[in-house]
Amino acid sequence: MIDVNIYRYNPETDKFPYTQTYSIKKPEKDIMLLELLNILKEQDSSISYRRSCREGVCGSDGMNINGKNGLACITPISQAIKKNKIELRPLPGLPVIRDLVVDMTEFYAQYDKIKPFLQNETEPPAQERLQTPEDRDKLDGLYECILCACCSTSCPSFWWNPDKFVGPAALLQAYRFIADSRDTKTAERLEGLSDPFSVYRCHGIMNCVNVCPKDLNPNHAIGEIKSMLLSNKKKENIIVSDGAS
Amino acid sequence: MKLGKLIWYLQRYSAIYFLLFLGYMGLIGFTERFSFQFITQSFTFKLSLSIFIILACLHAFAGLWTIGTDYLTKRTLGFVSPSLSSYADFFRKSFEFFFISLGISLVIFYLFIIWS
Repeated sequence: MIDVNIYRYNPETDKFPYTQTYSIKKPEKDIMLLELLNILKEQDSSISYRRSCREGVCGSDGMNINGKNGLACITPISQAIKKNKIELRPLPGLPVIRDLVVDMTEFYAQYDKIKPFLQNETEPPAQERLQTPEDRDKLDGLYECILCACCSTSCPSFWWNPDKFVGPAALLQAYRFIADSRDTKTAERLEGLSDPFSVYRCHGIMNCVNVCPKDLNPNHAIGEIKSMLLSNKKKENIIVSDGAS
Repeated sequence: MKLGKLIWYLQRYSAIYFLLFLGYMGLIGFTERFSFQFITQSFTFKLSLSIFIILACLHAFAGLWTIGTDYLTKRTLGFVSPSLSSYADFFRKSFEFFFISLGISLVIFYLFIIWS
């Protein structure tokens, strides 16, 4: 048997959040945590959590698993279990809507702030804007982010200032467009990040790198943005990163 | 220069200066007779010590301001107590006023001692 401790909170009925323990027979196969939650959901239909693709693509089921953020659908229970216990909590730092479901408004507001779309004022070609294979390689390790918020919600700087500090996920995306050879708004993008909070509140704690379920390195992207802000490093001088932590 | 960049450079360059000043102090210890007379009469020492004191206060200001804007906000104090969070701006402004006043007082006090 394993004990699954789940953070429970229903603002309509509960005055305070509490932890509910479910004892369940350890599955014979090493199933994913999301499957275990689905089994528990059959026992208690009131447990709330987000899920969609069940293969680490949509980023819906980000949660705090035994103190570390991750995606339930790609975390095997053998990896999550500690002393026959699994502790599941909502992503830290964001308001809880119910149980493991958090309000992502602040997270998306920061994503919106960095203008996550290609900006190019030159005349568009007949078909598409091309780039060299070398320029395309610069986007590896950046575009793969699925916006699960595991990184931003593990960052203390984001906990304290989610309205001012852009956070690792959005900064990774900011750099994804700064590094893109087809984007011509590099100066404007950097200008938008030049205040004391947006980027400079990153103190290199590196929780973001530690928890990213896609093995991306937001800290490297933030470092590159800082370098560009401080030394006026040009886009052409960006070196291809392997993207992995 | 943008404020974010200014604070970043201020913290890094002041830290480098602290290291250099420490080296200078060590050098004096080896090469000069480190006496009260030397401290009060050497123009180079007095100047470098004055710069050290000013930079130490500015360096501390950047760090303490960061602490204030991280931990003395409505959100952060709200984790402790919702009623406390309504006084967050007052606490933070008081904290900033306190360390700015203290910093300026210390700079004036030490510069007066060094140069008088």
